[in-house]
Amino acid sequence: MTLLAMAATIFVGSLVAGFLGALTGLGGGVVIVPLLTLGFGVDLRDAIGISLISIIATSSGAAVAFVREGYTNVRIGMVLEVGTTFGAIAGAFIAAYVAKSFLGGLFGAILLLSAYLSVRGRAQGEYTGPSDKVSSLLRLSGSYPTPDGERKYNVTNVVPGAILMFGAGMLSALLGIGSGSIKVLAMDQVMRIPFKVSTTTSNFMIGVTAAASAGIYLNRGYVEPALAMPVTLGVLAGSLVGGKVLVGADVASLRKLFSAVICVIALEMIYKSLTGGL
Amino acid sequence: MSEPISSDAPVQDERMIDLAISNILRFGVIVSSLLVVVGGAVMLAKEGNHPYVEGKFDMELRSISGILDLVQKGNPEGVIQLGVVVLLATPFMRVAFAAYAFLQERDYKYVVIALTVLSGLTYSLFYHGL
Repeated sequence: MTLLAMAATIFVGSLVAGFLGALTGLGGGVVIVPLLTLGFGVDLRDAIGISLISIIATSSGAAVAFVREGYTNVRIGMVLEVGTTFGAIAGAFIAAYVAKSFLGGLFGAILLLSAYLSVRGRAQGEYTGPSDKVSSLLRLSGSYPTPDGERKYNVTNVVPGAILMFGAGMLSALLGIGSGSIKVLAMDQVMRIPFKVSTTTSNFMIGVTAAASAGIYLNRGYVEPALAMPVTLGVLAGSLVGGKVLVGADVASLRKLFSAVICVIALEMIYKSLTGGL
Repeated sequence: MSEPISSDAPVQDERMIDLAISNILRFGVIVSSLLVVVGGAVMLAKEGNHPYVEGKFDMELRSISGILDLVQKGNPEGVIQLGVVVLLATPFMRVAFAAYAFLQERDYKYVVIALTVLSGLTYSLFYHGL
């Protein structure tokens, strides 16, 4: 394949990935690695490096609006980024010593988990209890806009949440994903932060998390410009359009469809890893 | 029932900080995208018809100093990679600004937290290993 044909097809694939990722809230990152490895035969480590770069672009692009509208809790983000940043650095080092077949299998497993988390209903109601000690000390309580005006909230279980964030950062660096679904799980279910604040603050943190390992990948030679160009531009454009369409779309059924696609991709990744095809 | 939720930080300042952070992110993404588009267009114009071979690229593309050298020589891959570095530096700038803003507010706990995150990012951005 010529460079031009390769760049054009990868661009279109990344555009679709970014569009669906933004529309469903799963993020484009989860499909970039399978797209490059299964679809274009790119080496797994190169694919992970490129995916991390594209994640910084989409996270930063989407955060512009969320921060401006007042959903994102910058303080919570900053505190939890301590966990994700050092988790990511640890992950980037472990990645060098782990076999590709293991990484591929782990990738498939985490994809299945993400798909499950995105379709599962959220039964838990709003948290009306007090802040815990750490939360009070760091003044993590905040408020976010609703149709009825600003709504205030408290935060609890900060330390368990931060520990989970270390794990999320590690997975992000190992697999080249944003770990958004795990970050949201930790904030929404464990720290009891309102869902909309959890998702936007998770997105806000993804850029810092990915940057903490992407520099190491770049230095190891896993970020190839010829691939980085179509992927970052495609995912960024796709996610900007997807974010606009989000209002008014039938998100629930789209999310189910995308989750089904992700399950198929996950099984393919696991199969390829077991048979040594990655 | 529940304790009153208090936020004793000046709300006006917090909103200004949010807006500044939002602008840093927007600026970083735009500058990075422009560099990648320009570098990519020149690369495709020069080598678009060559067959694609994975992993055949300059060792200089792996470090910031090497990338700057390539850009000075007008190397299109170097320009794309400079865009990648700008993207990497965007979260870095965002955290560095937050540290500065917390210092202005005399919120020293958060200055320490922001600097801790920044040390991790600095380590990754200027990592020279292997």
